[in-house]
Amino acid sequence: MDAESFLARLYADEAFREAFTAAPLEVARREGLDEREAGEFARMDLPGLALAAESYARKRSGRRGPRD
Amino acid sequence: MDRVGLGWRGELAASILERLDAIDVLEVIAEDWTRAPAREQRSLRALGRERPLLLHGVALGLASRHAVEDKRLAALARLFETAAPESWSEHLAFVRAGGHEIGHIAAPPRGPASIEGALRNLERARRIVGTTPALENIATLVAPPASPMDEGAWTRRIVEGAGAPMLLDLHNLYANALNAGIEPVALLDTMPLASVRLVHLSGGRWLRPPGLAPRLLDDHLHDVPDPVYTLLETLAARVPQPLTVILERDGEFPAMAHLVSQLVRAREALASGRRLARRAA
Repeated sequence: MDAESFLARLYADEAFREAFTAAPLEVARREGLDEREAGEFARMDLPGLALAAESYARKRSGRRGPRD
Repeated sequence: MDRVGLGWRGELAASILERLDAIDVLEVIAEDWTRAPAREQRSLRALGRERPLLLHGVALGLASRHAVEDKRLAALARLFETAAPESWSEHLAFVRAGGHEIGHIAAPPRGPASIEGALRNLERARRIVGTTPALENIATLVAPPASPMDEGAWTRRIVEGAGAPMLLDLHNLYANALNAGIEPVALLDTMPLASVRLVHLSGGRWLRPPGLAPRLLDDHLHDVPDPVYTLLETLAARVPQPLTVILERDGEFPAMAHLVSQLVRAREALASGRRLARRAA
């Protein structure tokens, strides 16, 4: 999986995000990111990921349409 | 000449038509109209006779290593032909990848893959729609991992590489700067300012998760904060080209008079920036 698809899945798939949050490096390696990318994802801002994912989930649920 | 306008929303339609005297230009969300019958799409052409129309896409996902679907570009091209807007814009964002739909614009990893993908997507968009969109910087609550480039350098590479105009969203920039602990003007100066033709203004709210640093969410539900008008003044002082400024409001709509007062403040900020530039010359 490429880094962009990995990030999209983190935003869109709650179970995947929970697994990643519990073991970031392990999940990133398992999904095929190279060692540099896996390390960078393992160091990512997890509270920021949770906030962003929550915001996107609200938008997917239709409470608000996509805008920016 | 600088222009100031407002995002067209169904909830505001009657009020906007009553206050066209205060509005130079209208921006329409493309995806609100791409699936509408042709008769309704043609009504946009009539609206465009009242004020110049700008079409704003929110779902293409141009800044992606993956190709934008042909059907999305074709739908936009049909709307562009029917509505005859002055120009169109889209975000420097991805919306989906690897079969996962995020449901909103998001910042991709900022590196060569998303730059090359964006340039390929922009060339296809130009070919299918007929013109290159203005490209908008987005707000993000989290810095995208696996990003060897910072936001400014990445944005410059795409905007300048595509020869595209830039739509600079000053609240997005303000939010990203505060959330990253950067001075907003410092972030402004990393952007391709010579390419900026359009500007978005909006508001947001602070998220205060327990035990964590607060973050500014760009939600389009609140008034434009004072520092964003100051950024507009700074931008108008920095660049010589005419700017078209659009106020975005997506909900919790205040009275139209209140929105008009924000358009007035935007005009004042533009005028003040232009005066500063003349004095410095």
